[in-house]
Amino acid sequence: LQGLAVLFPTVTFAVFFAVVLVVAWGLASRPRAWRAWLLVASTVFYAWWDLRFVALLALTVAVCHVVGRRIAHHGDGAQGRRWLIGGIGLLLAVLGWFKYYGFFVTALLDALRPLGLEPQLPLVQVLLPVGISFFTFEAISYLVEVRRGVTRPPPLLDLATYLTFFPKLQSGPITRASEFLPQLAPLRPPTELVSSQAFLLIGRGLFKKVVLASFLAEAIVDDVFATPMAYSAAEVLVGIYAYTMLIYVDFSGYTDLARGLARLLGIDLPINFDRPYAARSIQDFWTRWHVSLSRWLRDFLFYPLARAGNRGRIATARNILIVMLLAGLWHGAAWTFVLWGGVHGLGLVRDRWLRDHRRRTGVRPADSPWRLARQRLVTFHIVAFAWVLFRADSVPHAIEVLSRLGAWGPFPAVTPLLLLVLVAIIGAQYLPRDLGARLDGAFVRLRPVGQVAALGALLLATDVLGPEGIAPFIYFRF
Amino acid sequence: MTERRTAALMVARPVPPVVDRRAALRPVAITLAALLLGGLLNAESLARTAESQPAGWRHSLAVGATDPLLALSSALHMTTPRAVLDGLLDRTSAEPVPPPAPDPTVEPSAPPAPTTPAPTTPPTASPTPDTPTPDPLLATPQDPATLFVTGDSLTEALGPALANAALRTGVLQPAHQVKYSAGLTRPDFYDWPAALGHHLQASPTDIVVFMIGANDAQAIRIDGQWVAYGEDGWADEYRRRVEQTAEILADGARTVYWLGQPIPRSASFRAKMALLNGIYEQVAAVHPNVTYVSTWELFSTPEGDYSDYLLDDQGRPQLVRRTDGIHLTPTGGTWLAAHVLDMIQQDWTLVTPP
Repeated sequence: LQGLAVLFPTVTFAVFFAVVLVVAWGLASRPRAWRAWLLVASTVFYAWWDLRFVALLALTVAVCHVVGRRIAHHGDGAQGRRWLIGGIGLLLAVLGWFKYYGFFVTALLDALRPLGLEPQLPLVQVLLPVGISFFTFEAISYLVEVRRGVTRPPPLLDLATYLTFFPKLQSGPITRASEFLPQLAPLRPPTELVSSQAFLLIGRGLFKKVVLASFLAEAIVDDVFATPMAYSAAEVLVGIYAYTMLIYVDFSGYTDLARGLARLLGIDLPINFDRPYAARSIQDFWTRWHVSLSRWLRDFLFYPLARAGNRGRIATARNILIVMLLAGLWHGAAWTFVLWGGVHGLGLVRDRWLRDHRRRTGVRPADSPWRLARQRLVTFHIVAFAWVLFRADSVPHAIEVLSRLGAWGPFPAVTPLLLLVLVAIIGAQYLPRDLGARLDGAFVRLRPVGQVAALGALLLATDVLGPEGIAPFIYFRF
Repeated sequence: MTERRTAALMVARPVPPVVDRRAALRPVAITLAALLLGGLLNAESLARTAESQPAGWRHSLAVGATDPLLALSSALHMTTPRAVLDGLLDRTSAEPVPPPAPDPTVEPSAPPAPTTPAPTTPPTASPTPDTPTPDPLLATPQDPATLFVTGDSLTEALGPALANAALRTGVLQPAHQVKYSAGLTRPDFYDWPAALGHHLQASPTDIVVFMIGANDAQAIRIDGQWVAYGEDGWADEYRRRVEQTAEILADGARTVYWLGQPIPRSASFRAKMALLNGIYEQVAAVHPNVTYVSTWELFSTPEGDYSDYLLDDQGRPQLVRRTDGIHLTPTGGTWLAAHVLDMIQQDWTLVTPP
């Protein structure tokens, strides 16, 4: 029944990747052929889901190729600016058609109905191409970087390899041309350390997605969000905490896999997560959660907005809210996502005002462990409760879930194992930053046979502990 | 030209590659060896997955690839660690309790009598207190009825919506279980009759809502031979399996609602689903406590066509189908749940709490 995108934790993908890796190794001394091979592999990977949308990818590459060259040709002049605006407009129009057409038409009809107007607008449901939000943002960043002079338009093959690179194609990390293109020439096959890091990333990603995310979904999250009325306050609260952890292990697990696979192919993708639930504020959270998106929003939306207008407190707050509402809408065409963005936007405004106030007055409360703990606790709960909007099908659904927090009763769904897993995941957010480097070191010291044995054991454990089928990554629908 | 641009251009300038192919071989070799080791250790699981693929080239290819892997794994005793771990974690795929074999000599009986004593003065059951003939299908706050919603991915949206609607009555206790990609054509992938028999034995259930079919327009294995959908013998075998499943449901629950497939977008798939719906309806008709619920019209336009969007009671367009033209959106699930609850309320007296 399902024409699904190829998921990383599947046998199909393992076979695909093994072939890609072996051929890529064979072409290691021929960079052009190597890049062409990566492009072919990425095209096959995308076509596996739906052949038709390869044309969409090709269109995105073509727009970037043509417009990027025109922008570079015209330099800093107004003509280059017009090409930039036209290119971004075209990319956003394509994104808007695929992702937001139905949402805006129904919203328009709902808005006009009280006025007695019922225009006959065509209602069609458009199939959302996997990864369109991600590769469209990358394409926009490419055009802006060319305009700013950070990147020079590369040959078409390099540009296509960058935009379609399959490990990041479906859900990022949103990588900039200035980070990616220099890695294509010269070709850098992974060193021992890099390949060991790659294996650790892949192992960690597999465990997070296949074991932890599946466990949390099955243990409580799916049921609590499907039928909240059947659960007591304690169960719903733990269900919200569990979803908070689930979306982290799911998305960061995907990112770990993407980065690990890319590293085996000699490409370093940017980090996307840095222990986000240890954040002290919403602002701090966005420097740790989906980092590649937040820096895109900052550099390509917030800063241009700030440069375009005045920098007063009100204007800054307005700009933050605009950016975060759009960030919500980027995730999905639904009011729940817009509200989710709004909650985070208000949190960011509050953080900024507080920071400005302290700067003006010079009054800065002394740091103490209690203050730190309180800040982390408050931030965690704002984030966790905002995730309810993210997960709910509709605003009434979110309200229904939250309203159950007043329904006291027994909590048989809250098992010791579930609590243990939740504590372990949150505890992992507080592990020292250099632990990863130490693990890398330990793994790289293993002889190849030891590394193979460790990875084989991990594959065994993952298959034993995981479910029969793997659910798609949450971020695939964005 | 700015400094930044100059720096970027210097970074992007191609440099002749210097590749140590032997060093680069190491991660490739480790990856391949680890995949092979993982494959050998999980050979039985891979073979099961391969066997469950739809009949055709994918099935042949998967089985052809995993059979030698399994043979090698068995020869090297590499299936043992997996078996030990499965045993330790109680993850062995235990055979479900076999369903009770239907007795062909017994005529289908009337719905079983209620297992709980009927109240002497049902609040709404009878208008004449002198002749108390309480409805045997009665759910009260003191004695709620259990409802089990199950089926394939079509119940993914229906299950939660119906469970929520049932909870709101205060007298229905719902449970929901979805088995993705499962139908009656591939018992090697999922054995519905066995699973339903097991569930109904383990968890006494008053009402079952069952919906499958979207995965069933595929080849079926009869006496070891694959028979493609539409070939001679396919419909007869499928009907036999529907009858077997209906027997189990009819014996295990007091009322059963067998939901037909909603109209799909694809014209060719539409014809296939219409055929299955016909079989479900005919089989349900011979079981007094099994009701066939048509969903075709509920998700059709007034002209009888398919549409992703349908108008609600207030004339507002609602997205009721997913992009594949088969599955239901949460709104579609809510519509279907309301329809099914209406059917339940026609048969059952729900004495809702004040």
